[in-house]
Amino acid sequence: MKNLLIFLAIISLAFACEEPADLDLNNGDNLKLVVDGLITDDPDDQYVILSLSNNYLGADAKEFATGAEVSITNGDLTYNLVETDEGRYEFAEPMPLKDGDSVSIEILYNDKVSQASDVANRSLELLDAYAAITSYIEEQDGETGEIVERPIYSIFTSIQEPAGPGDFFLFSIVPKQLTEELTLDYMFSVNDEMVDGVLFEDFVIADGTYAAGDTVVVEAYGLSKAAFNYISSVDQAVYGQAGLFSPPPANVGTNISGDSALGFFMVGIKTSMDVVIE
Amino acid sequence: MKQTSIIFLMMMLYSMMGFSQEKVTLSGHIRDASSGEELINASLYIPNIQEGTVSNVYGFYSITVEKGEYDINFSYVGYADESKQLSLQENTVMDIELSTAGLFMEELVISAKAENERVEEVQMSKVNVDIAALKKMPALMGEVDIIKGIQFLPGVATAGEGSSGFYVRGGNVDQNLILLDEAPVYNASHLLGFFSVFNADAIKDVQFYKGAMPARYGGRLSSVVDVRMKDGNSKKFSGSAGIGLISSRLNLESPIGKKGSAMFAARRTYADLFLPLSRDTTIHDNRLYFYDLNGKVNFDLGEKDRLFLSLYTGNDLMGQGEEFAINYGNRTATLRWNHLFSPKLFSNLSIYASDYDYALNQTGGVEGFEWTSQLIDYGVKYDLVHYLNPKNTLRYGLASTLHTLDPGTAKGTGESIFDILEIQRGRALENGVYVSHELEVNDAIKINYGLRVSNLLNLGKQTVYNYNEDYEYVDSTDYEKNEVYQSYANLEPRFGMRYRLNTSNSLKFSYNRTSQYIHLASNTTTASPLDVWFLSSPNIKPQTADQWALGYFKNIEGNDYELSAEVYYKQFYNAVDFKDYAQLLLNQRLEGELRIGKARSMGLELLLQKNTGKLTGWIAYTLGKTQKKIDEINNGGWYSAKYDRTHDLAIIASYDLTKKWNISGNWVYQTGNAVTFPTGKYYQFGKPIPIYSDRNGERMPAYHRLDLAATYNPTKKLFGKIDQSLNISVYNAYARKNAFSFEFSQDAQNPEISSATKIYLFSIIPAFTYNLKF
Repeated sequence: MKNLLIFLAIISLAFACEEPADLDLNNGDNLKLVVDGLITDDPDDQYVILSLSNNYLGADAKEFATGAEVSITNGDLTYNLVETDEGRYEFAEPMPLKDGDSVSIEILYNDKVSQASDVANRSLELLDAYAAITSYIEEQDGETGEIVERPIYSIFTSIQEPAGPGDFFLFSIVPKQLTEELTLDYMFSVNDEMVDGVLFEDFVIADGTYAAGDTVVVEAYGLSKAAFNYISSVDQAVYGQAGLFSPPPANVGTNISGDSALGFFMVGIKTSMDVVIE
Repeated sequence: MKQTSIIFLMMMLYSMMGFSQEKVTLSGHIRDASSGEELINASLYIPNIQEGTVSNVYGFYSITVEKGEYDINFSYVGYADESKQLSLQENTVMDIELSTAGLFMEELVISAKAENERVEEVQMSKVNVDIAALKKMPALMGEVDIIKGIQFLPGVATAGEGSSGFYVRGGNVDQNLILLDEAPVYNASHLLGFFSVFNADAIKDVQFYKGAMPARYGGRLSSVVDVRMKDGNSKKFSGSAGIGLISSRLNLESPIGKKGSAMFAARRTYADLFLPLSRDTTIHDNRLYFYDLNGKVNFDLGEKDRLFLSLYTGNDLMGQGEEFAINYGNRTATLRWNHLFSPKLFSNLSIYASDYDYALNQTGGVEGFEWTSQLIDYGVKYDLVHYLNPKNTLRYGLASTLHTLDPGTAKGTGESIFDILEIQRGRALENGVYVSHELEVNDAIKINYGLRVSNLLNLGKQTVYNYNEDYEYVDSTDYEKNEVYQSYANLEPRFGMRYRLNTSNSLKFSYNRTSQYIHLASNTTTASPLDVWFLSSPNIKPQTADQWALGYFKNIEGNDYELSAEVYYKQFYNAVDFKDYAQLLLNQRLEGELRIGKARSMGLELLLQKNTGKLTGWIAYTLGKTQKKIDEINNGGWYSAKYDRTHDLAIIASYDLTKKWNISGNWVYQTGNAVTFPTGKYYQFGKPIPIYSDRNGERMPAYHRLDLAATYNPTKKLFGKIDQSLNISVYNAYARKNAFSFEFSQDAQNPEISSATKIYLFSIIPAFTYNLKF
């Protein structure tokens, strides 16, 4: 669908022009707490980032929310998180997490309490992942200026989507050297509406001009429907708002209670596999 | 309801009071002398009894008067007046032919309109679009477009730069009933909205109603655009052709024996030839064109019967190499039978079909798919007009339409990983019966009252999805084939009144209720050919609207100038909008994406027209406001519709410099669209996420534009018998960079820096059209 809309936009704007615009849009100092957390059964993912919103236009740097009190409850157990870096709150000890667990968070910041909860859903079965050169691209070498040919690797995967409808997944395929954080440029979310129970064999899940020795991490997260919708909204807000065939822009939803907080608290089961580029 | 019926009955009885006197009926058709084409809304006026009538959409007129001697004047816009002295002692049939100005000496009176027509008639909020005038006006890329002409009228807002979508008195684009020879047209645009499907060479008449909706029209809330194709020249073989910047046209007309005529028109663009010139190399191998074919034949089956067959097909094709293709278009077919039961009773039976469909193909690999969607209407209408006497005209009829909607089927092709996704079809029968009565109570007061009763029957086989109060799917209910699983009915009273202050001034009032059972699922910034329609259902009640309008109409210096001022208030019920990020395409549970509320629109419309002389044109101004209120949107508060325009001004002028040269110009000014802009941001997944203002809480910059044109009509004919003309136009003459949209983006090096970019579609665009007529 995105390809289609981009195509329509290209046709529409074949002869369109653009110029910088000077608009007065900033929202003053109405800053809100932003919750960023995807807790999985992998202890490395068990942290929450808190930050503050800022003005849209201009160059305001991201500001973290320090000094908050954060606790997470899974069943009967409540965990008090510790601020280990500016705005980063981690578990003191790993929290066991399994499919179906209902997990909630409570944040006390600037005398305001924010709460949210989510349910951990199953992930899919990642059977195999490997890389192979599938084409080449010509690029100008940054040092010599010469045109050089660089290989494009495709990441092949074999995946078993679990039988039964109602599954939602987030995929992240990113070189480990680049970032270990979930980054929108390297992730996408899908549901199983058209692929319920399908076995994908040697399915190309991503392409890239990786370098030999890179480790590409393929991760799949099981999401709740609400988390899936949130990520879809984020994707729409970042990539889909400017097009002629986009719906009217709207604020991305949140599962954080109160009107002074944004973001989303989500939990899910993760499967992953490393692919070493040879 | 009971009270309404009694009033109705009393008015009917009142209207019968004159029947005891001995009277005769004069009837016939009013036609163009050179082509035999029936003239719509041509006037007949008898000065000594101060009575008159106008021809209907088939050129038929009927007037019943007492036996006697009469001077009778016939007139029609752009034609020489014709007078007849008749001794009417018995029912008389008389066909009249009027000649265009060019055939006569200058001293003959050329009518711009029937004298005081707008002051005299009960109908308000209606405009007859003058196609001849449109052809002189500047047009985008030289393409004469009747929809663009409508957009210059008060109360009509455009959907965007260059778009043929339009909003009438606060109604959405899907609330316009667009008819081509009685058949509805569901997507009236080509090339993503830059042009309309109506080839001006094939069109005879366009009547545009934005309020005071006659009872014979139904199914849409806000407007009717009733487009009639030419019948074809019944006198001689004739035609016209044109070569323009982006398209060429051909129109041929011919008599068929002595009892009929035919018309054929074709238009094809060649914009795709220019794509390789674009700076964007990725579109060089794209395909991008559209075509239209119009055809019509008609036959006299005797003095009382006439048969018409109208056909239209038009398609757009857009493609990207071999990888991608979109094909969409409309097809309509109408068979009509005019029958005269008596000189006073005219009837028309129309049977029509309308089809709108699109297909989208992506080829190659695991992502290949084919996606199709279709909407088909089959309908029948039977309309009768009873010309009881000059003071009483009764209209009644019925209509029934079977809607069949295939919202979309997508399936993988080749090695594709996609299964088939088939959104279930919808079927419904929409019916309407109506009666209306135009009554001249006395010299000052004339009224038109009527009632339309409409209903919708949803037909199985169907799975109806049930939702809770949060619009979440709960379960479903299955219905058998042809089972009526939901029905709706609405009473739609229509009322109009004219109070004549004197011969050149009148006041008018109108009220109408309208209902709509089929709706467009579209929430994109620009009209998309992939939009789908959906029916009212157990989950979606019909949309209804009440509109009140009050108007003042004045003629100045005879018929030279016309001034009108109308104020209106319109209330919409069950107004449809869409939840944030609604998924409208290929969604089995589309109804869960809809949000229902109410809307209101109000405004003041001013129109000053100059109809005669070397300088003609009009000034149209609208002061308006349109708002919606839907619980789940904008925190439940009122918000502006995206097409809400505070000010909308259009100045249209045409000036005959000499017999050979005409110059014309348009200037438009509009308040910017209501839009939603980002006012803050936060970061998630490494990206800044915008925080937006209230829904449509901000404004685009104001839009204004000047277009100019010159038309050269050489007196020398090509090959001694072909009239020729050259139209040169400039769109956006002072090259204003009107904002079409704004894009917001982050600096590539530092994503924390955000900026706004204005997108504008057109700078100055020159165009030419060379026209031939024989």
